[in-house]
Amino acid sequence: MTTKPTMISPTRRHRRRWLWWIAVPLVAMVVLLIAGLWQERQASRFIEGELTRVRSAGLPYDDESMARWYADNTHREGTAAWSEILRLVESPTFMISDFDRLPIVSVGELPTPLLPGSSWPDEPFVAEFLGTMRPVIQRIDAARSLPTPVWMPIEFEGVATLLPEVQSSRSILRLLNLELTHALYHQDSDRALRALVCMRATADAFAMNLFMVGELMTIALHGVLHGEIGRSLEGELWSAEELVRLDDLLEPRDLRSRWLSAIAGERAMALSGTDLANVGGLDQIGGIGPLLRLPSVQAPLLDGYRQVERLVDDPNHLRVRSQKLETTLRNGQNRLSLGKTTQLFLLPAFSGFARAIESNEDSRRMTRTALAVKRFQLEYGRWPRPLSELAQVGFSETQWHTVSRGPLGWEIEDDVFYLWSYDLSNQYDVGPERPDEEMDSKVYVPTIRIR
Amino acid sequence: MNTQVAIAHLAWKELRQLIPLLIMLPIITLLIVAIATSRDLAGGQGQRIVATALAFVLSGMPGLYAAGAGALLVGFEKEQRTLDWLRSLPITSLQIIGVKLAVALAGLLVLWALAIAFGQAVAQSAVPDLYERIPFVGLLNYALYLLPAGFALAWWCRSAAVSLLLIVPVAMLPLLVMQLTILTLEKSGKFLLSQSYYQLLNPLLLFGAVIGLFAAVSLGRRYLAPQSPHRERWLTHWPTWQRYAAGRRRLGYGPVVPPTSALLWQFANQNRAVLCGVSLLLAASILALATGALDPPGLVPGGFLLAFLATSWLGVVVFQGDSAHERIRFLADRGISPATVWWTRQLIPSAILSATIVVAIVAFLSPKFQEISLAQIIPIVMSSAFAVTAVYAVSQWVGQLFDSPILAALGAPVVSVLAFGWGVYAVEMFGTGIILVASLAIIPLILTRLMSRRWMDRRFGASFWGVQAAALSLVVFTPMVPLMVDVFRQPRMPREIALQMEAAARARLPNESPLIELTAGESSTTLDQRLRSIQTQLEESPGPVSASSMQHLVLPLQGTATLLRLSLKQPTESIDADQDPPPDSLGIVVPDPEVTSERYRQALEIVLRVAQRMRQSPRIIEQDAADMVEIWLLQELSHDTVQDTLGESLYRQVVDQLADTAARTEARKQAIAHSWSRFQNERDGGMRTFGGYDFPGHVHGRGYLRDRWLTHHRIGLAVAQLWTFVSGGPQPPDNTTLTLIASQWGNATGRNGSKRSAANPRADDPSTYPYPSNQRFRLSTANQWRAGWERHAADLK
Repeated sequence: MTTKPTMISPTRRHRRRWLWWIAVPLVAMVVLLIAGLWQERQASRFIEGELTRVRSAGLPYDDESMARWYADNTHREGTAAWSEILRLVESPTFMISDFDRLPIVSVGELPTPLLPGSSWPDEPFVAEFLGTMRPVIQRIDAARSLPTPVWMPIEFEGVATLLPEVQSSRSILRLLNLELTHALYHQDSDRALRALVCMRATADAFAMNLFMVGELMTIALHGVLHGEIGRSLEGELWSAEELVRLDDLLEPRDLRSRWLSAIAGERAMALSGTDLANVGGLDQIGGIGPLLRLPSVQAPLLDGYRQVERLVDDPNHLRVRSQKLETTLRNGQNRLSLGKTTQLFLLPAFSGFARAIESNEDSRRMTRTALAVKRFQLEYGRWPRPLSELAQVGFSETQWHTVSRGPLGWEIEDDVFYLWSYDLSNQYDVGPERPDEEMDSKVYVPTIRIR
Repeated sequence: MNTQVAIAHLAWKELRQLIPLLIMLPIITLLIVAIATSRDLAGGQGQRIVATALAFVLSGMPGLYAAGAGALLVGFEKEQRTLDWLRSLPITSLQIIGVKLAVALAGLLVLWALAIAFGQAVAQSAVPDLYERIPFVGLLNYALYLLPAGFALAWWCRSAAVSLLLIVPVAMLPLLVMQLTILTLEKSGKFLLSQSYYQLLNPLLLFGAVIGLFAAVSLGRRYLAPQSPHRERWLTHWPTWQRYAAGRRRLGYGPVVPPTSALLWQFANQNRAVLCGVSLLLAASILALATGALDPPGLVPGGFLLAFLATSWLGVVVFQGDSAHERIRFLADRGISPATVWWTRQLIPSAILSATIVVAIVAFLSPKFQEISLAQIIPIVMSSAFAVTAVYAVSQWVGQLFDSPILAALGAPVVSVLAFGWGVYAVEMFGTGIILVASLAIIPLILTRLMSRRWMDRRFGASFWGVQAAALSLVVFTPMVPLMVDVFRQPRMPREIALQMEAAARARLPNESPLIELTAGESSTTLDQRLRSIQTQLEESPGPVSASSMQHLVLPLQGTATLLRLSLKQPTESIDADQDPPPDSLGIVVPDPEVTSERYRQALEIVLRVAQRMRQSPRIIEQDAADMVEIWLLQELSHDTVQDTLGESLYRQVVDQLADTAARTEARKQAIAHSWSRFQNERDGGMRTFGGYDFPGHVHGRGYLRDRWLTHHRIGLAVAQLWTFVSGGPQPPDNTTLTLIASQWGNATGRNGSKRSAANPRADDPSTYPYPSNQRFRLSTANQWRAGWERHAADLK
């Protein structure tokens, strides 16, 4: 039996060749598609797990849960009282035609240096203003008894959330600052102490550590308080009992909960779908919005937040670890991965945030050390030399050390005790030499003069 | 025939050849200008599009003409072989060249005049800074340079298409020289101001025009001169790629090649010069874009222009090579299927285009562009790929329609711009989805495929043009369909409510005087003076108080009143002072409680009168402002000492005002009805404002016209909802109704407007209501209507 050889016509051969041309790219595309889908599935599972963890921890994950979380962590008892105080501190602009003459609360200038008994031409005007505002200060004093932080009406809109009350709280602090300045000028320790206590109450009332901006505002309010307590030590005003009350105002706030709250809030804002595409003007580029909702894009972002959250496990090295993580994330950036790019783009400036927290803690420690130095001087009639002598007034060594930049600097000259910290522009650590007051304006080293 | 008659005839013939171009360009320009300067577009978000389109069209029209005139008057005649006939006329070659140049120049002058006239009209009506946006004079000079250059190239090249391709690099020459000069000057430390660039470019263009003129005359004379035997012999040579082939192969007796491969090779050979030229242009465009994105920004527009022209010409090539001299008949007569012809024509140009896109992507992913993130690149690549595909699709369609390669080469870019402009217009103005608009790019491809049988058979009858017109209508009208459907389906205000409001609006307003805005009195220095100043304003101007008085006057006045009340409750402490303060220098709180009480009474009386005047306003925004003022009054009355401080008469007035729920409801209804009536009468002028509120913006983000056409219906529906709400009686409204009103009036934020504004809560319990400070104060439509405070106020009686 002979088998008839199969003849393949040129046309058929030609068709087969074309089949390959179509089949190979098709198979490649299918493989790529499957790989892509697999990657998306993995990312989706990670997101699901992460969101489950967030939800089970009672943390927010969008605008609505953010509003609930905020309501759960604040108190409504003081809302009406503090709202009224905010309105009252705004009213002088209407009442007083010469409002601009006032220092601190407006653009008027204070004489420098302002020492008790020195010339202050506008002092009668300031005195009458403060007399007029006395009921407001009394209202603030009365509001101290209300639980804090206080709930305020906030519309949570992702990164577009506005915090008008937190912004306005600075007006309260400025009024109290003027009150303090006037009291120090007149050596009136009762009024000065009440002003400082009210400052702390204001900072507590508006402590909105639910995201970074809120916490940074709180840090700023505390920074003013620390600075003013330090400034008050330049005059010989306080008694030992009053120094103890001032020390109470400098009780530390829990770093871990503040950090975790701020990062949880930031994550919720990033996850609030409305604004993910708006961050950094990404929506201006056009057509990028749907891509940002892909699991493979959102997963690295959530992973980034998880890593940032964990930084606080070692609170003493928060700043250094934050810087390291930021460098790692930047070096690991892959332009071909939209997820990595988005991660770098949308993660908040946590390294700067950690720096602000640490410098605020150092400023608190320095102010407490200054109070301890003054207490020592009142008790023993001399300045402590060296700082370790503060142990005699119950002040341990760790308390006059900065978090990560060594012990505070000190010096005694002309019976004035100088205490200094490090350069806030982050260039230098605490130095052995007292910083020159005429130093370059870019370098600012907080210094307290205690008399 | 004497010389003069021959010249006149020649000039008339040249003019007739140019007339299609001279008519087509202004008509298209007029069309674009008409769209761009239409009231809606110019007044809305389309200013940018207007400026860009006008800049391109106004400056591009004479430039396009100048680039094509040479190819049309010389290249076209070379292809038609009519130049040999011209040589037989009793005129010199110089006269032939001169007549052609003179007629082309005359045409350019006409277009210049039109461009200047258009420019003036547009600058005066829509875009005042038009001449700052585009270098008008420089672009007109460019046309003067391109005209003789185009002629020189047309005389020099055998093919008109190649001469058109070569005009692009020649057009770039002055820019290149300018860039080199700038670089040299900068290296030698001489800084050049940006304005000086054009001062440098204009002489270069004029110099180039003179050289081009010499070249055109010289090359023209050489072409028209008697042909040398050397030249003829050269033409009989085999082309290089066949010079060493066997004779059998030359005659096509090589190995059997499948028909599709043969057609592909035939297409490549037939259009090799143009394909090579276009590929070079595309490569140059990528180079210009890649280097220009980081270095001198001037290269980027040039790169885009090159890419656009090259893509458009690539589309033209698809069918033009076969249309020329009706070569396609050869394939048609041999029964080659239209489908095979269609895709073998498309494959190579689309492959070149795809390769260009891939190379561009690779170039942008290179380390040089490290600072440009992928998030930025993806949209650029996606939109560029779409734009390139659309331009290609439209151009290949134009290439099938036009018989003349020159007209097709000149017309395709213009038609592509029109098509692209229409797509952008549809997205921006009608709010049509980008995907729908992008998918329309496939219509020209389907159309050329459907028409390929008729095109091959050269059957351009009524049915051919009918199908073309239908396809064109599809492209033009499809983007409007979603808008039309939405307009048709949009619900409107129920008839019954419209009649009720009409009747309410006919009722006379309690106060028809114009709105007044209260001021604190700039010359007043003390609180007493300020209070007197406000009272005087209220007495002298009988009109309703505007809601705009709230933030700068009413809220601070309320704060002051509260401060006065607190001072009465807790007498002021004496404060140490160096000296006695000047008596009553601030004039607010003084030790005498009677004075402070009197000031408090005055402040409260003013606030009450403000609330009453606001209630008389025909706008709903004042009703909402009056609500806030009344809530504050209610909070004030809740304090123990206030009744005594105010005295019985004033206290009773305040209570009467607060407790009169019926009057408040009637005032709100009046305001809704009058706001609606005014909105209907003035909708052309104040379309986006209703009752003092700016109505929430776009429905879909984009779509200015969509928004404009649908806004009226949307507002009508929202007003009807408000009318039903205010007529709903004293019982508390359900949350769904509140959410609906909030989302309709823009009080809602958050995802899809699914919740009411938490920053502006309802005052259900006045004792705990956080009355807003100046920083947080914001009025929201009907936010406090039928809230709990009204029931508390009614209980005061």
